[in-house]
Amino acid sequence: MNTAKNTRSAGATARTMVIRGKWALVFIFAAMLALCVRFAYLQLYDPGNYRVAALNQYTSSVTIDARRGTIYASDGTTALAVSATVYNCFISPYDIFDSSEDNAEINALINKIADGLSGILSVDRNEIISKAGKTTSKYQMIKKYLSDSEEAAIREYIKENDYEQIIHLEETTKRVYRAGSFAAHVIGFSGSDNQGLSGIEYTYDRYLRGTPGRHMRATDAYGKDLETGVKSTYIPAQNGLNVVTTIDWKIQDTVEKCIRMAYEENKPNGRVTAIVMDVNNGEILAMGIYPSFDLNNYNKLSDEYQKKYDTFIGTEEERAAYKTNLLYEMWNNTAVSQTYEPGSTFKIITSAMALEEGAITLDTHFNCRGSVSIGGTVIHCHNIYGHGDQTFPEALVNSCNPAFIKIGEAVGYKNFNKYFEEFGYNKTSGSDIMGEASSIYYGTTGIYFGAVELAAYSFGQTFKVTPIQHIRAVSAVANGGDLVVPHVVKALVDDQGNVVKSFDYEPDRQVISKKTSDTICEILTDSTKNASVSGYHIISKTGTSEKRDTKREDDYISSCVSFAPAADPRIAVLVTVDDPTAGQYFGSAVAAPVVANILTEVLPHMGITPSGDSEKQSIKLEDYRNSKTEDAKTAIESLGLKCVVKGNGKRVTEQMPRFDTVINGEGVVVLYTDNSEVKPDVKVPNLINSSPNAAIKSLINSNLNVTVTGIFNGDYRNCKVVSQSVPAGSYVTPGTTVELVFRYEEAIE
Amino acid sequence: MNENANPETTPVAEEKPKKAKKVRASGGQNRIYRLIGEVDRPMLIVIIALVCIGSVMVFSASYAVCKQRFGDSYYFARRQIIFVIAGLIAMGLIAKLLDYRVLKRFAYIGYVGALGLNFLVPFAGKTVNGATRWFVIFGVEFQPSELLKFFLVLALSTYISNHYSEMRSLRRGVLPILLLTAPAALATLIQNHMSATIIILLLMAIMLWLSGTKGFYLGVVAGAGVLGATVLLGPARSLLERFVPQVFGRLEVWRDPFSYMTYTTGGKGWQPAQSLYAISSGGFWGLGLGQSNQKHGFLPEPQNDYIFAILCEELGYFGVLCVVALYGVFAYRGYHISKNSPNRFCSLLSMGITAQVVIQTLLNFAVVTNSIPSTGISLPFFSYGGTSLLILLAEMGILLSISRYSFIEQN
Repeated sequence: MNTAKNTRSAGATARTMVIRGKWALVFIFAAMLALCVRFAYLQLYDPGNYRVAALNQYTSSVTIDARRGTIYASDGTTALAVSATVYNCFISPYDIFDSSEDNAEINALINKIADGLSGILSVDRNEIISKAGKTTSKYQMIKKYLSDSEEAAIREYIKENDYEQIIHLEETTKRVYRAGSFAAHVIGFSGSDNQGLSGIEYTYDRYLRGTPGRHMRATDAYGKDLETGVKSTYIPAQNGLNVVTTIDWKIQDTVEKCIRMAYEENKPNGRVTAIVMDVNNGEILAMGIYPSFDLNNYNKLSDEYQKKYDTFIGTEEERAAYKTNLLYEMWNNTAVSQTYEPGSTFKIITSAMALEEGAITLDTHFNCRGSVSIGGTVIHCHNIYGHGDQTFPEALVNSCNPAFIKIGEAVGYKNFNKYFEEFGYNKTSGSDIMGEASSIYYGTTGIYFGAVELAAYSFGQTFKVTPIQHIRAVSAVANGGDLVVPHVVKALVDDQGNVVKSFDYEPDRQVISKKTSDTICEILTDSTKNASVSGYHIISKTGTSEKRDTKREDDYISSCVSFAPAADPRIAVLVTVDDPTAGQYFGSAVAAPVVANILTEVLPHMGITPSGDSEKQSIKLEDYRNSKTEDAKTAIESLGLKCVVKGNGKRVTEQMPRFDTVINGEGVVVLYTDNSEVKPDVKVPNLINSSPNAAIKSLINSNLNVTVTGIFNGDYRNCKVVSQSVPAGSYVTPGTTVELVFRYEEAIE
Repeated sequence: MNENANPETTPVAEEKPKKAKKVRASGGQNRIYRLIGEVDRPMLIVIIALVCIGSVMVFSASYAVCKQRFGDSYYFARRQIIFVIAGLIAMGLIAKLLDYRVLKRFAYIGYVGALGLNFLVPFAGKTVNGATRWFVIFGVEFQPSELLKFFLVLALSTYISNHYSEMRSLRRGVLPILLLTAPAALATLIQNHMSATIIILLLMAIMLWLSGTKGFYLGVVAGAGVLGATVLLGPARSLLERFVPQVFGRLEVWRDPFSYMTYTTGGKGWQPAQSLYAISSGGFWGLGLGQSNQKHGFLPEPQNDYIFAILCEELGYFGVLCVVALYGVFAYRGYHISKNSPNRFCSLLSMGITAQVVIQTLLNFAVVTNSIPSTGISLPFFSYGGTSLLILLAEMGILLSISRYSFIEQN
């Protein structure tokens, strides 16, 4: 190497090296600075919210469902809606991937699990595979609310294959409605996430739902508790409060039975609605709508609606839209959300205002000639021949339209409007029932409130109110004048049965005086025999209102409102039948018998005993078998019953009716002796449209027994058989009891 | 600065031994004292500090994983500490006893040997996670590419210092360097050890730069590289996707690691994503030493390449600044040692070793912060790995040894 040259050039290049080294250093420092900025950006600014994401992955928060409160009937012990324990099935993909190092094995495992689970739970296999692919997840829901058999099968499957780490069952709750469609519109239903969707479930959701608890667990990736700063916490769930409704399950049961019968008998286009309310405090004791639906399958059309749907013709979309409409219609609580023209039942209110204002007295006379002309518009009375001269009480019982037009005139539109408002028709009732509609009522001033309008208003037409508003208003007439607030819930209780909160509804105001109230009640007592129950005195008013908003001419809503007992009304019953199609449409013929049927069972249940004076003696038959024929015959005849002996034997071998059967009043007992055979050899006569006396005589003559319903206080006048329990022409054994239903031919509209 | 003094204190190589011997011989009683004091003390302190922090972090980062995997929280920590002790002893011995001229004598032969090992490893090595880069000797894993990097620096330093005057020539300066480096790059490429290739090429570039080659050449290479990368990432992305799908895939993961976290998406984004979680979780002061949540099975292999993410989580931005500062001091002292080296060979070698550590550190930081696509680059002084630490500390010994000479020869 040339030393001289090297030295010379070294001098220059050594400096170069130092300078270049310095540049390299500068570059390194710049890179370090840049990285420090990058660290600061990540650590101090946290651009992607990574801190939260990280926290989420080592904390697993399990929600502990709060048990939804129970909904009880008014007795506080009969559960109407309860939350039952069921199981959800979920898988832990993390543990699937943890089970093996080999991808092929993992894939095989995933496929196996997907096959197994889809087989048991009928869940889409591909869905399970895609859920199983979420490697970091420990909670992938496969199916909610397993049935008992599915749950058992999954348990077995886990055990068999040793999948304890992979497939899990999780306890949760599901709403179960004890009696399916029972009080469906009042109770309502709740969705799968513990949220009330309708009825009490919706209105009282905030009490029922409770507060879900939380189990925050901090775990490492292997599922063990972390020992670092993140701590596990456990917040227990607070169960929802239980709701005690005002629904008396016995009354509700009766109401539902009766309205179903009424629906079958009258085949209405609309629905049958019934409300039973305590007139003194506004508690809704029963609220029934038929057709109803099954709360446990609230998305399924009930039979009646399914029939409508099946007959609907249209495209797929139209059918789907129609089905939705039907569902909403089915869920609709017509008792609060459907407005109707109350018709003649509103005459109670018109009377109350007139008496309260002194516009009329009990002695005011009205003359009805069958029709009256108001400002050129002719309004007919339902009695086209006219009621003639009548006092006010007579006019009310006769439900005379011309008389009430006169009463309306006497009240005047200012007072009419004042009382309309006072009776609460202008506002919703303030009840806790979901979905209350507003009434439709044109203003008091201006052109809308002319004489014709006032005339129509006075007998309850051309305005629309909801059944709940109406029963509230008429209850004020029944209870001495207090406008109560209808409600369906009376208290909230905790799981130990302590009352947490009770709902007391003070009456809004006194609308009319006790005197007016008593007067009207007295006039209407027992005025409608079809709505009456033997042994009781009942205040009733029926109504038949035209449905002005439908296209067909003869659409009516038949209704009846009653209070019982008459001496001191405790309950009000309102029944409406929307557009009956089976021939009858008068409220007295369609709705009143429903009220009677309801009251027949409800009054004894409420501890109100019948006065008993009109009750015929009931005879409980003894066992005459093996006694001497002669002795038995004598004994039976001494009870006032007809006795027929078949065969010539000395001893009775068989008797019809059997012992312990109760016979009211007249009846027949058939005794069989020796070898005489019990044969269905009696032909049942046709009794429809017969009078009571003739019908009973005919049956006894045919050696048949009879029970009668619909006869009020033994009054056989002006009523006919509308149905018989055994069809005419069929053969039965002698002594069989035939049930006859009578209806009074009243035309009090 | 004593830039002017440099030419004077950088005598011709042949003169040194005599002078050194003289000083050492006349050292007398003071020699022991000087033996301790004569190495670059700031550098020594920085190295020891980094090794200590690194060892603590290895223990902290690995104990959860070790407990899970071996049932022994100290498994990695215990093995690491053995190598730390061995490495420090080696470093001390080399720093005190090594005559750097010996290195020059073994430069090429060592380089050839290292190359041999690297070409052998794909056929005779141990496969870990699909890559064959390790030899197992007496149960200890050993990555020959670590050795290769050092010998490349040594060989390049030797060549450049021997042909210093020709370095500005393309044919006689740049070309031989390229030819010298090519087999090393090739060896790591066939190991599919991309990060090592990158480091080797960067080391070559820095050595070329220091050698005084025309800036123009480097500029052309750098410009071509930037242009190529821009074209491939921009308009020619589809080409990349079609012809080198694995590189394309890596770039996609880099772009959004969170989309590739799950099994169904390949899971390649899991580690970088978890690293970002860990870093961000630290905040300014960190969760406290040992308090990382991410190391509990979320960040895979937290003791290895991503150990710094755990440090970020536990010691926060404050800890990051401290450690970066230590590396900064390390870089500066490396430069200082190089500047004060007795000759060009030492200067190049010390700068090369320093650059090797710093480049690897910077790349590691860039990887853990997902600033560049994920590639297996360990963090010097921190990442778990006995033999690599041993080699690293031996190199540090050489660095310190060179600093000792500059001290000796300045006096």
